[in-house]
Amino acid sequence: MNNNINQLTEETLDSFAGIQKVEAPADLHFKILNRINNQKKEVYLFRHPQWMIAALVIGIICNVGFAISYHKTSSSDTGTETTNVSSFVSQFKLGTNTIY
Amino acid sequence: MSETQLIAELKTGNQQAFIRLIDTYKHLVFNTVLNMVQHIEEAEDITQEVFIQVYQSVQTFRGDSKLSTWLYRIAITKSLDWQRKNNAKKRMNSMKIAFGIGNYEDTVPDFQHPGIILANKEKAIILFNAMKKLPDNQRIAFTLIKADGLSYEEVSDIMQTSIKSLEGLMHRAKENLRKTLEQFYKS
Repeated sequence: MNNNINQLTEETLDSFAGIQKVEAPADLHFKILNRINNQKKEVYLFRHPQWMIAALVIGIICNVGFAISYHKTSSSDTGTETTNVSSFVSQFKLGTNTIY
Repeated sequence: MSETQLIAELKTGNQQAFIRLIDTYKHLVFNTVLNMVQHIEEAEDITQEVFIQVYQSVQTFRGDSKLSTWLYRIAITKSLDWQRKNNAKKRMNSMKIAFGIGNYEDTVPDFQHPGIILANKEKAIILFNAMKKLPDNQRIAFTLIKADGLSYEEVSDIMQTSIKSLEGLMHRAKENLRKTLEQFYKS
């Protein structure tokens, strides 16, 4: 029994003897260069965030415009005064507007 | 092109030199990684990461060691990183499965090594599993010498240790493996 286990153990320890080399994929350098180019693009966007700032500004402008028109519409529906847009904008900027 | 010339070209950012580097060393890196992770798709992914790392850090390569030695070191480091992440992922997935929210398909299969001949496959799987219990330095030494077939001199360069220390590591690795395997076969 013990001899059998010892033999199995030694055979297992030698089981890497017949290990064969495996061919790496032929198109490996294409994939690597693609990944490097993609990483460069990501780094470029991260280092040049103008487009993100521009998108943020456009988003804020649209949001404010939408809020103003919504305020006008809802106020005119209820017959209240709607001309004081500047006070609404200042409220919005201060975060005191509770329309949403 | 000599190795020194190749390194000089790589440092200038020459893409043709980089392609030459990949074509020269891809089998070496791929097989080392495959022997470490025993999973062909993951090995390909890690091999790509190794060359990306080379591309990004070739400026810092001083040429104190051979290019292949440097590549072996990066390949081993990346493989160990992958193993740690994979072990954490497996633990997390086991927990998810226990809570009924996990999926068995999310777990990376344990063994996909086409270099192991079929007759040896069962024993090789048992040996690879036993090797997972070894400390990192013993596992690296055993893999590079037994699976990659490198000499003690080459491995001592890669691991930045003396041949005497390496012999000690190999001796302890074999002893630990014998104990694990004997326990496995007894049970």
